[in-house]
Amino acid sequence: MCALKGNYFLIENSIGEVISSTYQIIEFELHRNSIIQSIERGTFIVVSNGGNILVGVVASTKLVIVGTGSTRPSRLKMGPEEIDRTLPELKDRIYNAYEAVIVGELLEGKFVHASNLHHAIVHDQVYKMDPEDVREFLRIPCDYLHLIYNEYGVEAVLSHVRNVKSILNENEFLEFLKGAVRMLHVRGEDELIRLLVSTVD
Amino acid sequence: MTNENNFIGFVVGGAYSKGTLVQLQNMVHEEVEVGYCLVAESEKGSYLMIVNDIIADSPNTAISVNMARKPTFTKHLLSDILLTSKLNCIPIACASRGKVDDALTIPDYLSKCKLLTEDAAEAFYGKIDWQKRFPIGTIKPSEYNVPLDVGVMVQNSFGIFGKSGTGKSVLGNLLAAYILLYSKNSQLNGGDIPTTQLIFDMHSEYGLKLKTPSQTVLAPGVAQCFPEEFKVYCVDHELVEEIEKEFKRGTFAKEFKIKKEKIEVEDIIALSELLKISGVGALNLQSLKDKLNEIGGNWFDAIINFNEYTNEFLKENGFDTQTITSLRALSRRLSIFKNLPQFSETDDTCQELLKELEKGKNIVVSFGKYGDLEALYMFIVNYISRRLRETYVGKSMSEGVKNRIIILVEEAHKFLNPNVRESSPLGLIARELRKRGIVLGIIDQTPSQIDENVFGMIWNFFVGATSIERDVDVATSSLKLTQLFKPLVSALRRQEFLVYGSALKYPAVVKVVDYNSIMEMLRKEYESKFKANINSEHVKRFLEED
Repeated sequence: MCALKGNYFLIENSIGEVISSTYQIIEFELHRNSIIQSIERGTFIVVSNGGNILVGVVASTKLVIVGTGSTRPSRLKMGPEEIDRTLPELKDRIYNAYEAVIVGELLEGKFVHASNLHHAIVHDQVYKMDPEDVREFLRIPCDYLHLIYNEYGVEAVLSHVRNVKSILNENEFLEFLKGAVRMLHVRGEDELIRLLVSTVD
Repeated sequence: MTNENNFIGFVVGGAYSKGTLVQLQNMVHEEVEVGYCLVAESEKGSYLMIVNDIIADSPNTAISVNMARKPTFTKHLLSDILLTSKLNCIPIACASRGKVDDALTIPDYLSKCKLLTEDAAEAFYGKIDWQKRFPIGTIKPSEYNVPLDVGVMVQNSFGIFGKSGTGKSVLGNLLAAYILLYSKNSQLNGGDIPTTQLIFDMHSEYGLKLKTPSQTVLAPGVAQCFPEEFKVYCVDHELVEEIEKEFKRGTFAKEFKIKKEKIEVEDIIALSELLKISGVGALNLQSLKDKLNEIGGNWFDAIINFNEYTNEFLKENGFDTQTITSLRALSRRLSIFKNLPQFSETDDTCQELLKELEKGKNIVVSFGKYGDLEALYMFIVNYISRRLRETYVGKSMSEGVKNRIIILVEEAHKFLNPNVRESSPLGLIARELRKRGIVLGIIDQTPSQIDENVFGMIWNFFVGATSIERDVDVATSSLKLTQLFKPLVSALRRQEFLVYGSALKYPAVVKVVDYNSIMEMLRKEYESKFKANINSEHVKRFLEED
């Protein structure tokens, strides 16, 4: 049984909200008053709605422009603080939406990879995953890199691997990679193994 | 490294005719060597297997990875996944429901494989009893000593093969000591008829001392370790003095002499191939024996000194020109025997030697500095063997076999190759006298030159390293799955032998036991059982004397 370190039910901790979801991809937007303005590619997120806990990896982003005005932002020649002060509605009209690959979930108290049994529900809250929970999630051999690779390509995988490296210690990271290589081999993803081993330091 | 239970991997495939494939798990293949023994445990039973090949296996993906970038890191990531190590193993035996038998299948997929332990080895090969089952050597990777059933071995001919420096002489001396102890035990317990040995000791390593190829002395030969049981006949008279000087153990050493008048034409004809004596030359010798006796006192003297006679003299004595020319050519070829001190006018020790042998004494015929004189070596081996054969052929089968004789002969192919086997006394002995209790211990570098009919009579094989393919082919030809064993022979180190045959339950690659320590043990055993009033201090002094 896995005791989660992060509180994924306290709405104050959430960084964003689900806009749409398939079994593979979650689309979410950051809250207007979120503690973060943007989120790095490769970051682990947790989506919780009180029922399921899904684990995702941020893989892509796109610009969203709402309303009837221009479909392209115009040049303002202002700093961020000045924009906030003089054009407070702008952030509600033009912002980034993020896409995260669903890489695992908590099932019966245990993390599993690449199960893809559940999708997120609109308005589910999105949280940054606690590093200790990341460690717990990666305690089993990594079996989800192929999902990121198949949807977003090798650069998204490498961004994620860099993110993992920043969380784990050297030995943990080596074991993570070894597990990943083993599972990729099982899944016949030898090309990704080649790219990974030839690129990652 | 292996875990506590010696687990090293799983069976992942294979074929009976090609061997079982074992994939290593968490183990670097460098930790395993060709010749290692494994046990595969399936639901059916336990399989004894010998590793005959080591395979570092990697698919194209692994090859295309830039491994040079960070080799240690890359190896860690890919090992066991894309960089896999496999072993090819020969299925040897299967233990199932308390029964051990030859393996006629291969273990099931994913059978767990372990390195052989001493306990597991004992279940397959049995125990040493120092009565008839003596240790021949350890099998890798265990320290288990494989028992050789000497009682079974002495029933039939056996062969020790391998190129120079592989340890044939050490093994030969060891087997001679085991045969001696086995025979003594049998006489004590009444289990078998006495076995005596006639050892043709080309390089004086049985009668005197074992040496390395660079002539460094290693240890005393078997006759020196058991002086009470051996008599050494020295073809080289200086060797008699050397034995007396070097060893003060009371070894009986005597100069070997052949009385010229006892030499028969057949003794020379047996050397036809070596001395290139033509059929005509041999016939001449046979038909002119009496005439030669007349002119030279004895025909042997007359023929080796034939070129000293004038044509005139010879013609007066009834030799025609053609015969004179032919005999002069023959004489030139036999001049090698001229002035050799082993040929005597009066003394002959051959009959004495044969009588001693019959009485149960073990005999070593050591050649000393004459060991390299091939013609003399062959002559004496043939000479003694011919007379031994005549003695035994004359005996009625109804007398039964009262004692067994093992003839240990080095450079055996000279006597047993297809060209001479029919005329060579040893060839005839091999063919005719096994049932009368005479068997051969063949020691040779080139088994491929031994006649296949003789080879077919060998029941036990001790095969050392040899690099000539046809020798490997022949030396492994009596094995099941012979193709699979060939790589093992090529990979043998000094003192390592592939041993198989009736005296060993299953084939094994062994590192021969340490000669000195085993001889010390055998000597102690011998003294405690067969000699009275000798303490261990005496045994130690005895072995350290030289």
